Amino acid sequence: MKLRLTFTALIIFANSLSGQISPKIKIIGGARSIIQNQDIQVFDSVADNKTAKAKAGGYSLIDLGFNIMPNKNTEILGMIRIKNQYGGFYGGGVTFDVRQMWLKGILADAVRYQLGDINLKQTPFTFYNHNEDNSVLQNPINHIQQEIVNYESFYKSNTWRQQGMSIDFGLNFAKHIEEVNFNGYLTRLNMTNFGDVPERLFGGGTIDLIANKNLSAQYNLSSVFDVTGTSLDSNSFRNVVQTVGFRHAHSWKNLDLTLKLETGTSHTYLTRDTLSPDLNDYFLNPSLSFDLPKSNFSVTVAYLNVGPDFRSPGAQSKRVDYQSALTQFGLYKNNQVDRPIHLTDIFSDDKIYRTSINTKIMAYHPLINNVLPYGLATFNRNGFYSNLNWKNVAKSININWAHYMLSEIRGQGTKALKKYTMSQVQLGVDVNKFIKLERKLKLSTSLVYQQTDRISDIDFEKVNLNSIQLATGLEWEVATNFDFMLGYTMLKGDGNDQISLRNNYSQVTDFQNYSSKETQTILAAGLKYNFSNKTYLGLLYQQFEYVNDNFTYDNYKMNQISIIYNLLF
Amino acid sequence: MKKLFTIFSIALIVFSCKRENMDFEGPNLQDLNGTFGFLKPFTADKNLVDFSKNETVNFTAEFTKICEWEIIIRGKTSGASKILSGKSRNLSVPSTVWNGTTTLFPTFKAEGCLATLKITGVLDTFNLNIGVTGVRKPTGFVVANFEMGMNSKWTSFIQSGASMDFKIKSDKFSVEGNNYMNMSGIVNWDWLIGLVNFPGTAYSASTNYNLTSVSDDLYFNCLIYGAGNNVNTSRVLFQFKEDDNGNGAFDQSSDDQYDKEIIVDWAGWKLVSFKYTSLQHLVNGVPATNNGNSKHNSNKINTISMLHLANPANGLASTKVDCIMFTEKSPLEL
Repeated sequence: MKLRLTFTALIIFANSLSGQISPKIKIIGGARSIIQNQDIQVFDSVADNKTAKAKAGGYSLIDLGFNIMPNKNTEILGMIRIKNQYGGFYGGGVTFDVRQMWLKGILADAVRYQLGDINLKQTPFTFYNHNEDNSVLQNPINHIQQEIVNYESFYKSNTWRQQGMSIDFGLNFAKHIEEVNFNGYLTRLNMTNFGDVPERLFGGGTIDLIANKNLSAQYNLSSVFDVTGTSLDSNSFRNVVQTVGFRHAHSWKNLDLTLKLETGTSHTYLTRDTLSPDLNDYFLNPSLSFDLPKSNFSVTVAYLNVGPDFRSPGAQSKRVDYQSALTQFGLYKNNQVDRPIHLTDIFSDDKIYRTSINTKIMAYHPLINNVLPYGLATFNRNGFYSNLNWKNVAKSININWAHYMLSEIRGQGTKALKKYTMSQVQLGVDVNKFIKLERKLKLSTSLVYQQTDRISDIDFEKVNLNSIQLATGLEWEVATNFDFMLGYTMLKGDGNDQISLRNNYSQVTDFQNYSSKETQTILAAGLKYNFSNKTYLGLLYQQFEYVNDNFTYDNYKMNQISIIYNLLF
Repeated sequence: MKKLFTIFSIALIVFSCKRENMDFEGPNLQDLNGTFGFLKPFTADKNLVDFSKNETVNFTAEFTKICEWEIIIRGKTSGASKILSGKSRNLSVPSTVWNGTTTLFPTFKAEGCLATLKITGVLDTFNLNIGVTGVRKPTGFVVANFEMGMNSKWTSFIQSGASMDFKIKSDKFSVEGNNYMNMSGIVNWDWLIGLVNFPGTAYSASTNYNLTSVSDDLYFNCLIYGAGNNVNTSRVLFQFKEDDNGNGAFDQSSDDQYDKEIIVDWAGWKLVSFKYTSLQHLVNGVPATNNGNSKHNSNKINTISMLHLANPANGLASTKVDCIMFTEKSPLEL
């Protein structure tokens, strides 16, 4: 009864917060309520009487932001979050947090600035929030979960949420160059503890020269550095990435050609540690795109060469931290071991996602992305890739295909190089347009195939790891604003690899044999009522199954049913 | 065309950047996974060693691949063990030097020892005989090793509980030298089983211990025996009472006291060492503000008290202690 009252009150309250208090103050934010019931069945060798097998609970939260414009050139946002775990009435389980705060404005009608929380990105090699752990599209049910993860982690258009300051301004010219745009930022990665942890900052900027709409050039700088004297350790970390980019477009009859190039260097070192390596390297990424706008068809071919010592924390930090503990059934089996991170967690557990830049090389999952675990900025890769997009005239069919053929530049423990192949296909079909249904009926499917190979005459050097990810889904508007959804996602891995183990200097010190013969599947179904395009109420069910043919006692099955109310205002 | 030329010129410049020429990264897979064999046999640089003269034994070997290795040296009479381990292609200094110290107590005696090399993944083991003619002499400030019995200036209090056995013993449990202090009994109305006070006057004419004034250099060490099956887990509480005001005695209201409570939840002898400056003042086991100058003054330690505690709600509590010593710059090695 208590749960129902809270839930209803939350909906009424959130729906009432729909606009402005006065012309200068706007209230924005969101509200969410989730009720979940989960259970797990583990096929262990001994009966598990130590870990819980079922879990019920949920929470409701409201993000309340005050967007204030004290004058025409200044805008301030302060957003607080009130969160209440179900069952946590009378103060217990209730938390109040500051979710975001920023101030932005225009100086002298020329320079834009922002202080506080900022969403930042530059290029894929300097500062970019790659999404390499989601190379397969989510089915509609997982997509809802992933949207919540993205909201919680501030992931938006490949930006990283940082705290600090940024400025940008532009200059227009009458001759030769149309405009030059400048932007710069300085953010704080971690604060000193006045002991062994120094104050670490991240700064950089971009100068964008636009000669005309067909020709532009760019210079990018990103740098991580410790502020000397802020800790007892006089040793300071330094990483500097500098890149230049060019874009040249040319039209010929119905064909648009675009040539792009980004190339640059990185330098990583510790100022006083004589044992630490001084890493210098470069990357090169030219691409040529052919676009036929009238046919909705485009092809891109590109070359990628990222050196083995190329380090760019802003572009190589991963969203998923594979070392983190899981929220749901984090310990399982009778010996209470950590449950590994699997597909279901990647789609739904926001606690495993990072919001900060990591200067160390983060762990990755070889089955989820072994080819480009750090996005295009993945070091030690050389080869070609291509991308193809096509939509039919009615835009009811959408196909995207990407193919990567890469290899290592420097071998790992041997001169023999690993070769990487990845093929991604995404297909979306608006079936309703074919059968002339007024309401939405959409089919989507996505397939990712990855292969890692190292050929050698010596058995212990041989590597062969294959993985397939498949996601398919259906969204059907069965009644006005009322969607029925079905989804199926599968990850299948087979083979072996040798994962490089690195020390604190990111040097390879050993290799871990990785062997896999496993299948992960998600079967999901759901109902969703859309109050508007920003508000919905959903009932979701999913079943996750993990089957490991090498270690059958690790196998388990997890069921989850959720009621989600989500609102943005 | 001019523009394209510019673009590719810059690309060429970047291509000309020097990339470190390295055949491969990390250890050679051949070294990690190849067939095991000896390139140089397992040997020791001496068959007889006198640790009392600071002699050492150096073990050497060279393998055909990188191996996880372990050298276990066992005293044939004492049962003492020293374990050296590592992962490398060869056995070499400093990781394979034995200076007479012990990993699993009791300490080594003048006795014959067997050094066994074990390689992970290799069924065979490789043995060497080493004769110890003189044992290592621990260096440092000895508070109590119980070899001469109870010092007349030490004071003690023993509860009148059941099965009380609070005395110096010499038997099969001896760990270093011949004697140790046994502390056991059942006291079901109080946490305290018994205590011994070691005043500074027992060691010099001064009222304080004659120790370094650089407190950060000072380590306190003690061998403690855990019964393993002890229902009522013993706690050994050391209290370091300073004379901050220099009146020749510890005054609870105006001097500092630093405490270390050790929960003895292991089986067998264990060497416990800690830095003096890592200690806090405890009241009922909880960190509290001190009453003196709140600085660790190792040269002002006036009295050390050793208390044996146990939860009165449970049964018999039992432990043993030996080799209570201060060392400078590093923990005691036995």
